[in-house]
Amino acid sequence: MSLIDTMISQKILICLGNGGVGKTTVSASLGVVAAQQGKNVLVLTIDPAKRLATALGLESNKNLQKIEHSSFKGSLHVGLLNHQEVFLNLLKQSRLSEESMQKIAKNKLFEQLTTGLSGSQDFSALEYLYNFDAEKKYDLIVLDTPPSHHAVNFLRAPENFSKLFSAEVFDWIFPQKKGFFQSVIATGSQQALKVLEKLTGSNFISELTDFFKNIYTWRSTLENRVADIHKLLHQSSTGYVLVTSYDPAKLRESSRLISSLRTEGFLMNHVVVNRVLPTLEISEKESSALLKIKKFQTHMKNFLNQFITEQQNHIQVLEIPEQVEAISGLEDIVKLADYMTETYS
Amino acid sequence: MVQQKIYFVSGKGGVGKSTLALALATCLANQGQKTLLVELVDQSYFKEFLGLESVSYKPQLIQNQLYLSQWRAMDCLKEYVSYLLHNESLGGLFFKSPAITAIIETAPAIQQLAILGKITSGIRHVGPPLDFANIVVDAYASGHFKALLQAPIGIQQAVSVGPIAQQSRQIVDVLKNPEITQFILATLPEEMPIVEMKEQHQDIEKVIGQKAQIWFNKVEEELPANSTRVAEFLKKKREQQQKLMGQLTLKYSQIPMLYEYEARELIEGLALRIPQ
Repeated sequence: MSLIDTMISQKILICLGNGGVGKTTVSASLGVVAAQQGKNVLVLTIDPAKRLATALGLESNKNLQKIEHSSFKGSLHVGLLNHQEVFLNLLKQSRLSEESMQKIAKNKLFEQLTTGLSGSQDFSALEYLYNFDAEKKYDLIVLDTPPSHHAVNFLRAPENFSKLFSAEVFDWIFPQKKGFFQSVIATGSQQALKVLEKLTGSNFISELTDFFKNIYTWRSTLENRVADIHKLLHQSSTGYVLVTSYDPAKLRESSRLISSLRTEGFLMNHVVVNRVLPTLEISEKESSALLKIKKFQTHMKNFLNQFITEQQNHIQVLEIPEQVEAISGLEDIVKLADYMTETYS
Repeated sequence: MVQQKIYFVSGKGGVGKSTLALALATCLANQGQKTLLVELVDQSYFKEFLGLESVSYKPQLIQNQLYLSQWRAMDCLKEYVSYLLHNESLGGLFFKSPAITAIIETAPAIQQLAILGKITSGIRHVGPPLDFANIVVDAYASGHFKALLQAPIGIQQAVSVGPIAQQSRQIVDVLKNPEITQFILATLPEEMPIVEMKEQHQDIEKVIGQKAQIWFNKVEEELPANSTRVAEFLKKKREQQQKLMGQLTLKYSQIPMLYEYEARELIEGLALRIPQ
């Protein structure tokens, strides 16, 4: 299945991959390809360095902007993710009172939760995707994912995040029942809370209990949302693109990742190997340094061929050649898009 | 007796932190110094990279003087809570509750303190002995690393008395002491990594008061003068890299791009090129 065919048949493309491989650039390029094909496209990015934003001439205070180019038969929009806003919006959708919402928004824990490093970023990216998909305004949404340690964790983020708000946690903090065992548990939780207090200071405990008191009604909204996102991720119109780079360790990691994603029911359609070293035509007479590089390239080529065979041709592997100059603007991204279209139709 | 040295290797995601941390640890071990390489991630990187059957919290011998530990935040915290409560089984019970786990997930500072506590525990003589000449930490990428370093400082502002405050102060003292702790920032000779590296360098100076070492990774080596036109791309790439590095006013080291396909050969080669 060619790249273009894939794009025409998908509603959502999720770009996975580790940090530093060029996911944001590839996501933007895929968006450009689709826009050139006449689609109304949205690219959602987290892009912490705001590099893409600068490259595309986006204004930092706007979350959603349209990008113009003469080659676009359709249209291209870029959305910049703001974690706190996403969570606040999600809060608004619950049946919390205005007062409770204010309390939560100001709570230090909520702050930590929404800007923190606990995988909540992954969850908010998916929540962001869910909201835009629900609007039904776009033919295709491309999601550039945050740089997770492990892409599988990204896809598990909603379930992991909602564990925090499970009934168990609430019952533990606010034990309602008064039977013998329950009171033992209550004592146990009191002791544990005391330990936590020792570890963190009493401010944390009051923030914590406050937070959970106010957030109790948020639970059902969250649980429903997790179920909705789960459905979205497993739809046949949701495709996955793995972005990796021309590095032996990273390629091996990608191979393992694809297998583990497959067992969870996520089907990779494409793997993009970014920044591939241009093939050097080297004769035997060259210096040992060049011969070494040639040998390296041969190994990499063999690995990629083996990789494709192993996937039984379910996956298209796209190789993007390395450029000396970094991507600096829309024209560079359009060039990349043109390359992909010409090479992989 | 020579004092233990602690090295933190950080940098932008994807620049080769873990590879360089391993190379550094290998280099030190090859010099006859008992060295522990530590990874902090939940899913071990080195297990796959080195083809190990398993990785553990307890130091595991990899080769000649080189050991490896996986110190997940939760495991460090478990050990610390048991220590704090002077009771291992009570500590274990505490963590059996998924509610506790969930709550701790919401307060990253606790986890970060536990990790730093463990890393500096040998120097501070707290908990089980860490009998190593060197501890090399394959640390988090930039943003996450900043949060890690700020944790003990932030906690001191919230809690000024008691064991936690005391531990935090000790930890900060160790981190700030250049005789003990060194920071290495891995980066690439490319625009965006350099921008992030500069920010991170500033952050470390601000938070800890130390100037981190800068290591440029994957620097193209100079090709022989009679290389044919086919190597034009590599020559241009090298020129661009040197140009970008030349613009930096800070001191830095260069680590060459080694075209090694096998992990073992790559690390052996890199270990010989570690800046001394």
